[in-house]
Amino acid sequence: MSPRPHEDCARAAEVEAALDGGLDPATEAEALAHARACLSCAALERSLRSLRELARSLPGAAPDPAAAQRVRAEVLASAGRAGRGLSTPVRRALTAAAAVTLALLGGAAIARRRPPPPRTDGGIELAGVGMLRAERGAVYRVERVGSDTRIGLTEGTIHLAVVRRRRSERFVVSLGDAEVEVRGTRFAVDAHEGHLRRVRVTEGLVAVRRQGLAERFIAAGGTLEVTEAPAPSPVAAALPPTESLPPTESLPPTEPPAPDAPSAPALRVEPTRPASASARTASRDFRAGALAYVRGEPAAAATALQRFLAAAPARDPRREDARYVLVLALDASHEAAAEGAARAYLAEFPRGLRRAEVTVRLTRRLAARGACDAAASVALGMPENADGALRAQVAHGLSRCAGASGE
Amino acid sequence: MSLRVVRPVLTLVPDDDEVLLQRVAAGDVHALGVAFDRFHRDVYAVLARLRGSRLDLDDLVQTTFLVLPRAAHNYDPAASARSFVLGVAIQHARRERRSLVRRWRLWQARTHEVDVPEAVVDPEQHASDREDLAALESALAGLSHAQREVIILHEVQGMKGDEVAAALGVPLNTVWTRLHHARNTLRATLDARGAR
Repeated sequence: MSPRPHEDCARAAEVEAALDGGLDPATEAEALAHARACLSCAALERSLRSLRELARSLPGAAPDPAAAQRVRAEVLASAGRAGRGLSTPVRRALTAAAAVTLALLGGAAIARRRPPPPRTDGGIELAGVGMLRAERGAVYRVERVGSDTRIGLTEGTIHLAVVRRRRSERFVVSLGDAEVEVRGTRFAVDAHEGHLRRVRVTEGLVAVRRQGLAERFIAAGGTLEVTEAPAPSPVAAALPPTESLPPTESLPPTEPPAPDAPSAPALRVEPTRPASASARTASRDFRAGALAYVRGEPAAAATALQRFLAAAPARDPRREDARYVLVLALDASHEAAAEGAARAYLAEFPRGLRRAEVTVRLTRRLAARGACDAAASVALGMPENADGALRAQVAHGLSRCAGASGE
Repeated sequence: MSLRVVRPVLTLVPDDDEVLLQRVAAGDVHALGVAFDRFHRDVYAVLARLRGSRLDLDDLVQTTFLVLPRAAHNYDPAASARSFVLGVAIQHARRERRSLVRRWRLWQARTHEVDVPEAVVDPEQHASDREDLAALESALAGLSHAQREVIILHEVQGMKGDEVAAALGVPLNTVWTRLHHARNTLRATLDARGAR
């Protein structure tokens, strides 16, 4: 590396300090005046400023809003449980003593910190938040942590009228596979066995976040119907529910409508129909591949899916499912090609819905054949929102490496 | 007093950093919620850049805010609350990184490879459209961890030297020295690639 021109000047460090704000105003002005006169310090100043400008324009990683809210709720719930200041054993003992005292006094305040029992009544008034009306047979519970209100709904239908919330206040209906968040609105949520079935909005706007799917907004007059069976197995989810209906994951994202827009129609899936003969062949291959896999014939499944992938255009919404089932099929028939198929999935769908599962399988395969560093670097690509069980599987896959090296 | 142990104080929290962190330290759940809303994006962005990966980042953000009520007892109002919270996050990231490095060494021993990566670059994070930014990302990944910390806090996040020193728990002069060396390395790398 050739010597830098600004290293010639003895005052280079002073100029750098001035740009960092490490000097008093008078010295700083003097150093910058010097930089205007000195060729090498002027070059240094330009270089440092352009580096700073470049650094400031780096795009920052942003947390997933749904994950951030989950973290927020967990932090607040834990803080509420922990009480304040557990920094010293003395304080901890005092806290325990206080809790015992309160328990002896009737413990009403402490009881409020436990999750409340499920309710099956006709509804309640949520003080300062709104009204909840439950239909017959509805099973739900209401938890309030700080300024957050969370309704856990397991079964049946509840109708809610929520007064306008501030930015720091949250109102969320949680289900096993989704959450529905509002700021101020009237709406109804319908659940079955802990799974979301329907959201109907009468006033305002609600956000619906379903497991593994992008956030969607539903405006007044809109309804979201969940048509697929609850908790689908990976393969069932990858298969189209009917002959012509594409997988739900391939729906176009719904934009929040303009405030003055007329009532939005119910959000429904428009089936896509194959147009040409080659498209029909591709459809047949896709279906044959998926069904062969379900029937327990992974080799036949892999052949059909590979045919489908070779023929289907890049924009075909079934490609992701085909790539995923191909990984499963090759993995099941212990084919070395499963590795390549997994990498192909990750390359084609870097934000794919099955990225976590594919990462688990690829990590496991690489670790099993001793390619530990490759396994580790694949594992680091695990999506940040991945399910805890899948993360545990990745860790387990990698533990083979750690174990082997410890021998 | 004992009642306040179990009952969150539901009062509005002013914008004042010092009051906010005092209330967080006093176990005010509402204040903790406000602190989360105010700072969690910065915490996430800094940790993502420091670690070069988003793996388990949500857990690390959660830990940061879980320990904040205890850490906030040590808050010095001379620095901003933001830099204090980032400092708490960085201390936890360091602890976690030490165990990561141990794991890498284990794999290295197993596979006879010599490189212990300082940072693993997340392809998603690396997928910048601009060549110069992509070059900076990869140059950042080549810095030592200590140098990357000061560059991210000072140059990327725009924190002042004394705030960086407080967040990292090092003397101010150490911050300047690390910045100087880190910038020299970055500029040399970028110039060699012709990125600037």
